[in-house]
Amino acid sequence: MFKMLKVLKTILPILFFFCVWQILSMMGILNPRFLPPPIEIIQKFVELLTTDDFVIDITQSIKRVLIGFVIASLFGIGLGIFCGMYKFIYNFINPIVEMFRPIPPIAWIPLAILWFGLGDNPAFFLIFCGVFFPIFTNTYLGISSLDEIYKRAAWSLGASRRLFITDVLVPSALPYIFAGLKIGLGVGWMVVIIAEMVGAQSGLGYMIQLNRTILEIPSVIVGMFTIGCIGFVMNKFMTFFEHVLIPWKYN
Amino acid sequence: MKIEFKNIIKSFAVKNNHDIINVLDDISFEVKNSEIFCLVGPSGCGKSTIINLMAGFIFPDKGEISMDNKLVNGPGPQRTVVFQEHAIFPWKTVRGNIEFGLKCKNLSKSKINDEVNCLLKKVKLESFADRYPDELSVGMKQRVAMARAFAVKSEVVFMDEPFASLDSQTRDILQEELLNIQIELKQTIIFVTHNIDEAIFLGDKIAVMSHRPAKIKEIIQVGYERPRSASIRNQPYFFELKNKIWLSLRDEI
Ligand SMILES: Nc1ncnc2c1ncn2[C@@H]1O[C@H](COP(=O)(O)OP(=O)(O)OP(=O)(O)O)[C@@H](O)[C@H]1O
Ligand SMILES: [Mg+2]
Repeated sequence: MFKMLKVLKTILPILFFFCVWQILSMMGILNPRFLPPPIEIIQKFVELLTTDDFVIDITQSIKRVLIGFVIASLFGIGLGIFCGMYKFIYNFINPIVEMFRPIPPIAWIPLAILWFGLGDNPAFFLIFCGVFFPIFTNTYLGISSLDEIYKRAAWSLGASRRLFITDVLVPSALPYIFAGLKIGLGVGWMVVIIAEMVGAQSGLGYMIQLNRTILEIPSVIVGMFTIGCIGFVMNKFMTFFEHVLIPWKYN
Repeated sequence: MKIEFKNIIKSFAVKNNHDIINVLDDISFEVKNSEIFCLVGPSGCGKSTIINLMAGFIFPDKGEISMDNKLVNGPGPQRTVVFQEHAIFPWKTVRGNIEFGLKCKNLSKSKINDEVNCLLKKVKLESFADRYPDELSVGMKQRVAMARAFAVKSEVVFMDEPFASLDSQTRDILQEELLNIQIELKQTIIFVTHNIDEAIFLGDKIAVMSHRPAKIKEIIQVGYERPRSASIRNQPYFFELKNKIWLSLRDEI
């Protein structure tokens, strides 16, 4: 009962938003050529769902972002752990990382297409460029902020190097690592759409871009909302994993 | 294991200005094998510093620390510590914390389980085995820390005010439990406390420290044999000792 009330509280404002939009369209204040009414968009959405192309676009985008995200996570977490453990590695790696970090993934597009052509590979590369940095930085921060007292406790209990890493260092940094993963996935989802708009023949980004050129505005908006919904669901998934993997923080 | 603390001088740099503070000023003492050696002294005099030095976490400016004639050059599993800040791992359950030290030894799963259950019982935390430290009271955390340290059965245990936040009943019970464990495992124990009763009840020797820069003011032989019964707390000799230590300590506070 209480939960339903909470859901209602979130849904009601959204419903209100769409109603106002619909009414403004019906009153002729919003030009349907620039902004079609919500009813039309919903009809379009239902229609598109029955087509193979749209479903393939969705799965393509998700596939790309997940692969790119996993690769970037492995590198980011791995390097972050090494840097957190060994100051001299950090001192060497960090200037290089800081040199590349300010370059937005979009700026890599020309090189990505030159190096990898069109399709999946430039997308993976661009996603990597966006996702790696937040994950690396957060992992490093988590590992290097381990309180001295826990290190002392582990050593004086005779922890082997391996046990120290698996049972002390990594779990203590997990909240930080997850913060990085969440930011990273958000960035990755943005980047994959951009990458597909310029360098792919499939995916939601491509679909939006294609429909723009043929002035199929309802389809463009359906694409946009789909992107939003998937992003929302992915974030919920990450939060779920976070709660499962870090029970001591969320019980 | 025999511990020798020879002519130790230790100072720390003060962070904000370029001063240094001298904490330990030429301290020497010796702890015999299987002895319980208590340290009492005013707050901030350097008791935790002595523990950190003996555990090998920090190093003296001058002097030598040795265990069975081998110089201490870093932490090791023969010397476990029960920290003043308890330092149990927040990401592990009570069971996980106690298990930690045992995982480094080549023990079977069932053996580890038995040991942990036995310790959980001793510190009366059976029903909290699967809770995380955040859900425990300070006193419970201290009991976990103690169980974790005793699980590894090291030859030397350093305990830095381990019972400070316990109620006096639990404290009495754990003191007796500590003596029982010690009789069983014959560990050498260095025990820091503010509580004179506790020092007398547990200790073979009690070192009274002066205020900073600290020296050992005197070392008092307690003289009670072990095992000790709780009733010694009511003997006139116990009060006599307590008075003597209190007089000695009072000048320093
Ligand atoms: N790492 C450090 N850096 C600078 N000063 C330190 C450091 N560790 C301890 N000190 C100083 O050394 C002195 C002794 O500290 P220590 O923690 O050993 O005292 P203590 O006797 O254990 O006190 P308490 O009874 O309150 O626990 C204190 O004045 C403290 O400020
Ligand atoms: Mg202290």
